[in-house]
Amino acid sequence: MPVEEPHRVRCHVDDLLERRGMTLAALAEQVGVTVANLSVLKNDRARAIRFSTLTAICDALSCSPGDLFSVVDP
Amino acid sequence: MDIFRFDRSDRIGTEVTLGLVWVMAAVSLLMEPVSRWVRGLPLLIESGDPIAVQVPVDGATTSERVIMLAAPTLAVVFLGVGAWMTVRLLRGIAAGNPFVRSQIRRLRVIAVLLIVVPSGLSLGTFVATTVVQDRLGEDVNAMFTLPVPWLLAGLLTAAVAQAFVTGASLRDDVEGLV
Repeated sequence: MPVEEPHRVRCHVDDLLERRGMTLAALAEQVGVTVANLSVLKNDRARAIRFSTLTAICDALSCSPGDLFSVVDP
Repeated sequence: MDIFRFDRSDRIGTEVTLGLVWVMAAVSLLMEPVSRWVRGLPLLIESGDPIAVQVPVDGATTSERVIMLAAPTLAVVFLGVGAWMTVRLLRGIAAGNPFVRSQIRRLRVIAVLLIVVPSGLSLGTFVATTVVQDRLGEDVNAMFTLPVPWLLAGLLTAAVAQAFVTGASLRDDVEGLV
């Protein structure tokens, strides 16, 4: 098992989806990743994200990476 | 079309073949000598000189027959373990989870069995034959041959297990990558 690297990055895809009235499944189809993978991202269980995936999500949600992620205080 | 793809039918065929091989090994290694014992027929031991032939030995005691059956019995048991490990390995790969610790463990067990069981069977039979031969004074040349192809198969399986270790490490690296 890999050593879990601690991080304080939080993903706000839930909020962005709600504001745009889009479902996770619809976003997954637009972005070209599985719903399971997007759930991993949504639930802050992702350890890394490809730039191509990040670009596709930002295009689909008309946002920038800074809208999608934030670093919470320790 | 990928003609080398190992799909579900190949996996089922392999499992069936493994089962049949195990049954045939049990029959040839155990059933025949036990049947001869039950019917009171002479014990057969293998002589290696000048050519490998089976020599009937009259008057073998129960303990001598048991000694001759010890190595084949263990071989059949360990063959069953190896066959089951292989089935579990193939099912794990089919489930899309090849590079996990349990699969590496199975490959290593299979590697050890491939190295140890054929050699052990040959050595055990050689020792048992020598014991029986000494007691009965038969003019028999007991044989021990090192099964090099099986040793190589075991070493290659151990190398594949090591490749799976690298695979597991790479899998850990990309787990959680979106």
